[in-house]
Amino acid sequence: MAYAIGLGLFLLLLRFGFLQIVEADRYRAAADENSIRLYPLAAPRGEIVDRNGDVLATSRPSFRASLVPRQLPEDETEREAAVAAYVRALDLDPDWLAGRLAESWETPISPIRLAGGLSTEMVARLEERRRQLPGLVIEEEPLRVYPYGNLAAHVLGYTGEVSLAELQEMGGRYVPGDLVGKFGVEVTAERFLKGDNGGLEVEVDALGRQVALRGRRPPRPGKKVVLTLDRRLQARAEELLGDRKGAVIAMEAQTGGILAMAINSRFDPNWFASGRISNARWQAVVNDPSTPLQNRAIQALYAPGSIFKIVTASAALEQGELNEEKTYECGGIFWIKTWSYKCWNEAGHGWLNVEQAIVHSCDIFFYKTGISLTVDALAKYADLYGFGEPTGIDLPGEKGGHVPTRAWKERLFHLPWFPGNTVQMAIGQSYLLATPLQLVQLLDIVALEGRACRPHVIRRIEDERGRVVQEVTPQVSRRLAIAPSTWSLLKRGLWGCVNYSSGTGFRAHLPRLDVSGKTSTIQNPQGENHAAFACYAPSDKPEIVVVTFIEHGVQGGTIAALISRSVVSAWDDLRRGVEMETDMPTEPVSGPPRGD
Amino acid sequence: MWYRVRRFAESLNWLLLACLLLLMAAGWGLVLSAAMPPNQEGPWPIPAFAARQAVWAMLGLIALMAGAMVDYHVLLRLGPWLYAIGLILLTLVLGVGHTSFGARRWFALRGIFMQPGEFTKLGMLLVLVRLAAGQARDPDPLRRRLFPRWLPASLLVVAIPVALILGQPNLGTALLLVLLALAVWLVAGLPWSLIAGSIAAASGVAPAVWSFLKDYQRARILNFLNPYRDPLGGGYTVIQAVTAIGSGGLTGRGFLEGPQNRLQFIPKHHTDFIVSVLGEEFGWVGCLSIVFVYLLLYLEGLRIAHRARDYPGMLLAVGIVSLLASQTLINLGMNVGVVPVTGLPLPLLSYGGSSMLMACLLLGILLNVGRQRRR
Repeated sequence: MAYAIGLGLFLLLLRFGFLQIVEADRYRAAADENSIRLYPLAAPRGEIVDRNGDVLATSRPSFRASLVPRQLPEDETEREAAVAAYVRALDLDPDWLAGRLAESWETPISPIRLAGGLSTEMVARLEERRRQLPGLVIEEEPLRVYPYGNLAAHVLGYTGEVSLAELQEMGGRYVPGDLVGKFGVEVTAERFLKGDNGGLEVEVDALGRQVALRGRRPPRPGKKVVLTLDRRLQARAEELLGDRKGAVIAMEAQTGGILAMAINSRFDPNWFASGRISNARWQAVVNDPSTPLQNRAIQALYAPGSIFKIVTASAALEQGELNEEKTYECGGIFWIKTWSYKCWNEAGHGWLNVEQAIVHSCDIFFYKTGISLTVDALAKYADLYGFGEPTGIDLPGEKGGHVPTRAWKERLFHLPWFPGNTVQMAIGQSYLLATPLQLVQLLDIVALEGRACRPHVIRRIEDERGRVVQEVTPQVSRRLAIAPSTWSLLKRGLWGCVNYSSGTGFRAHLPRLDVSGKTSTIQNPQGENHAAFACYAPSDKPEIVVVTFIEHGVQGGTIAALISRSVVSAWDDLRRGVEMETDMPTEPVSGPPRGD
Repeated sequence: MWYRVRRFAESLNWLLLACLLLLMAAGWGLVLSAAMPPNQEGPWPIPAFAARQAVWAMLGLIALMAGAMVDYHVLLRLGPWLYAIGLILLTLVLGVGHTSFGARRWFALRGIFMQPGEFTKLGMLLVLVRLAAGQARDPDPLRRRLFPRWLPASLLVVAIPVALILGQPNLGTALLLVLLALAVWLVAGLPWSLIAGSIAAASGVAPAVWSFLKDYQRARILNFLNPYRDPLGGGYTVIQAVTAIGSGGLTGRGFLEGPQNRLQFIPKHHTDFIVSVLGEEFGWVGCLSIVFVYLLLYLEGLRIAHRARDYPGMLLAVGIVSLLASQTLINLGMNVGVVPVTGLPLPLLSYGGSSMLMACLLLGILLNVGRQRRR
């Protein structure tokens, strides 16, 4: 018996020795890891302001509610009751919460973020019910706020909780629960907007309750991003666009700074600001047939339509197929063998030179010019003007569009390029696809006579004391070697289009400011034609380029021209410091058709 | 009067008494450390658990003296009564007991919990000793060796409380009762081979028993075989205890300085897992000292058994030592993760009134057996 007891105790001593001497370091490390925890102190995201310092996005202190899973009761029924209480108190999706709890078995003491953006009243109500909510943790958390609601929503973008994949990709600066840009400037300026999280080094007990504070590093807020947008012009452009689907873009001609980019939209970035948008609302936004999250200015592709005639004309002038005097006759209809192609004006325009053809947007003139040029020259000049390639604006998700070629058509359709395709391409239809922003770039090139400034929305970055960290200097993104005589001829055409009473863009005419522009009516097999109007002003020394694109807008010379005119007028009012005109253009119901 | 006190004092086994007092003092310090709130710096104010443990220790000393003074022959005669009371309490606790951690083991009396399982041990031990020692010897030597006359009655005496305790359910105490009975029988002449054979037979039917075990019991066995199977559920305590003991290293982190203990990572660290506090705060040196004191205590107990005045006294002393020693081995083993977690306190060290009073009473009886040798 004595031997048995002695042997038992001796073996136990060996085990103690093994644990405490041989493996001591391992267990020491495990014990320290157990009890010391780093709590991040979320740094507020930087502000986004417009060119005049108007705050478009900021951060406001608010609270988030989290749940420490291990503090839920062990008893099954009590646990379910507590989970149900959470669902009720915070209006959570029960399946979502159950999923998160199931995931958390590995880390039962790290809190699950349930809801953010809670007001003090909400927090007070939760505190009252704390007895039914075991494991509730309330922490301060900066909330992203967009004071103007959906103003410039597609430019500003929105934020969301950083995903696991993003965490792995971006490494050290982020912790779970951090907000990260998901769209718009919030994405492109992410590295400036994101502040440096501070932290608390805290000794905790087994339930994650704080026992002692070991150290504190204050968070550093993110940098301020100054945009090129003018909040007032943006608001006016959005007001003018109203409920119509489409885009209105105003850009500084000499710098490429975007002054306004209005997208008809029904989404408000504040919905996403608390980090976790409610499931129902997210479904509603994603499944909305009007695709409210799409930035139509840079992500939607349309045929450019008659505005493309500028490209056709400059190609022909440079290749010697056209000159100032050369004329073609428009009889209202154009035949290639048995195929007929009509002019928008079926009565015909008679004999025209290139300037008159631009003014009246004659289709037959450009059909004939296109045939003389062939598709290869058209495609080459389209490339030069930046079609088929993103403009390089500092917003995520920009599309490049498409410029068709012979080889492309043969590869895709196994069909040769027909002369009819060339005819269509010469007036900006056929397989051409472009974003509204590429039309802005086209007009900018004409306005600056061969230079394009890279469009951008971020003007500069400032730190918290207002010192400039980074200045965005205007960049010439492309240069075209085209004769000065060609530019002046094109410019005369664009001027006439707006300023002759017979021009298709006459509705964009402004008495006190010289506007030059071009209309576009894009044939749309799915419904009413799309309408676009692109212009710059003042004509002699261009400072602003405005493009309006309206889906199903019927005719480029009507509402699109009127909206562009109002935007230019508002810009002029702002520039001169007078009160902005606020009357709304109405769709013209009568009057001569203003063609395409 | 003074003479009688002196004679009583001289008759006591002072080595055993010293070990007991040492363990009690060490246990009180560890309970103090375990019970202190995480944010309290010094030992003041004394936590409630430590204050209560001091009261239990005082009551334990009284029980010890009482056990040492009452002739164990009287106790042996009272044995069946104690046993019967124990059985009644066990039956009652199944009906009205206080449930904690899914088991009904406690009576709640004015906020103080009592475990009748502890008191059953003494009654059963006394009855077993009486049965083995009291009956006339069988004339047939072979039958005497292989199937003594007292065996059927003894088996019944063990089976009833074991069944009741398994019903609570309390695997640890049931196992302890079986071990106690085996030790007594072994010393009373039942051959090794028979006991080994029964154990082999028992392992033969183990798969059948498995199907009768409750889910939590199966989970405990599985968790013992691999505690990392469910690191935050059943295996959590063992992992945390082993981590605490291992992190203590050679000399420990110092009194009141063990983070695993102080930050309450180990559930029940003041009762069943008190050794994790010892290991974390005093290291291997601390564990070595305590194990040495236990060894000394039990060896001295066996010496008393060896020199006992008569056969029942010897059996009684062996029973007491085996009961306390197996409890110690099981508890230490579960703290270092080599024995399944069964919910047995460490005699004299763990917090708990029933356990403390019982251990003291048993050691008191042991002292009484030791005193009678000199008469």
